[in-house]
Amino acid sequence: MLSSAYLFFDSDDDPLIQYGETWLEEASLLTAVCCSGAGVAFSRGQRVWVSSFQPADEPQQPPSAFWTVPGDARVTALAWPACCRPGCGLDSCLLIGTSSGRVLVYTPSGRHILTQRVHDAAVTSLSCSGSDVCLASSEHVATVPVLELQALLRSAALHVQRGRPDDEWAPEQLNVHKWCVPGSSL
Amino acid sequence: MTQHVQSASSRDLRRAGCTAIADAVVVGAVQPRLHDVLSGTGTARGVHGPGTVLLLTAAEVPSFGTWAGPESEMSVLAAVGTLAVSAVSAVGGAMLSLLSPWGSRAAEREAAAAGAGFGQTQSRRSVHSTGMPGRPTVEEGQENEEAPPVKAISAVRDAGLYDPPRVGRTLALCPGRPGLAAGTDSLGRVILMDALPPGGGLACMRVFKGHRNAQIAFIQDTAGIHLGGWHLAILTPARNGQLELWQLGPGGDRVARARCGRNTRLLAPWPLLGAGDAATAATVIPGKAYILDGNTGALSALHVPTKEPAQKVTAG
Repeated sequence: MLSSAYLFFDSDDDPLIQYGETWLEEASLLTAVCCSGAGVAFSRGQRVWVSSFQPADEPQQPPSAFWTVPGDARVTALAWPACCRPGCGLDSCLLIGTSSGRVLVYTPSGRHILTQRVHDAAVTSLSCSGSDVCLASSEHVATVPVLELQALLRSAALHVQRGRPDDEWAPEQLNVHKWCVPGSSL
Repeated sequence: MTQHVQSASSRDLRRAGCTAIADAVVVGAVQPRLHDVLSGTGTARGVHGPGTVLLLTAAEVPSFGTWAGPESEMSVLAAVGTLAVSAVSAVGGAMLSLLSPWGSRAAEREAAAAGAGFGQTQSRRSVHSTGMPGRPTVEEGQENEEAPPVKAISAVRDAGLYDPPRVGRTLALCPGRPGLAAGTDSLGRVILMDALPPGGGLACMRVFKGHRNAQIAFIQDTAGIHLGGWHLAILTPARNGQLELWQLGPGGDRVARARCGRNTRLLAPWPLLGAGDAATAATVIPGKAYILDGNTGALSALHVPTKEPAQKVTAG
């Protein structure tokens, strides 16, 4: 029970999020979990759930967003990097790596922004530093400069602000740098 | 079945002279050292200039390694390639239109009939529809996947930790101190590393034993003074979810310990987008970590205890 570890957790011992009975069955089977300063995202199979941080005074409250990744691929990696300047018009984004080697970009509210094929094998891990996003598969490592991602998010935000139809949204592909790691002769 | 697939992939990779990667993080941009500049060894190490990116990988061989590559050079090559393709397409289209006016008009009629707004450029692009949560909005086959994956180039090894039975599994990068990272391996160890030590290479600072399939994260005590108050959190599900907090540094003490249950996850937020280097990111937001209890579905914030180090085990 976490409540006994009072030294580690919030002083009032209230968890930030507490899911209802439906979620208790799902939590043990999650394949990818990530969190940002604003919330937490889960995935199982093709489904992705997003929930914002909130006091757990309403345990039965459902997540704030839920969607299914299109196609047959499973979600194998998640990352939810936030923008360094909240309120500047750029939303944070949810990066999803799939078993088919693609990366999908969504907003936390579930708006699809981009799908791009990066690897031939499944994306095994997604990580973010302040300047780059790193997508690893068993064969290669791909990096995307954060500037590319920010430009994509800004473009998507402008598209919505200008009231343009969704079917006119045609994003440019992210500029990906891809590396293979030579093996050793040892 | 998955194991078979993975092992076959690993064999193929080894045959191709590569190694299977389990995890990777970008340490950051690196500058050539003075010794590299004077001796001319910077290019051999993959450090060409300010645009060089340093990667840290957890893999089979080496278990943990740093790799360098000229990111800017790849960007220039990609841009040149794109420009070349565009130029060739434009020239080819112009020649076709000159040689075959009928063909050009026919193409225009076809485009008008298809309602292809901005022409082929627009139609070649993937058109994404946005939608509400819970509704699959696009089919994967209709995405902009016509473009093949980017061709990979071979990174240049900068340094590595070689211990062949040991296989690197996961990595975590300290947001507050550039180059400081922790990794888990197949032997149940958690290794604290410095990817940017003063003398170069990859320095192993400390090894924590007995943490099989551990989950790791860096958290910050804003009141702490040692290494900016950063601590390493290690969650070991195999030990009934034992959670330990360690001060960083060669002789850092264990600050606290608790048991959280087997079905528990340790989560840490990513650094902020656009915050630049890790040090800048750390000044924007302090390092936090969270514990997800898979049995109750509760998510709790993790803090460094402000009291005296707990000698007692707070069992649940």
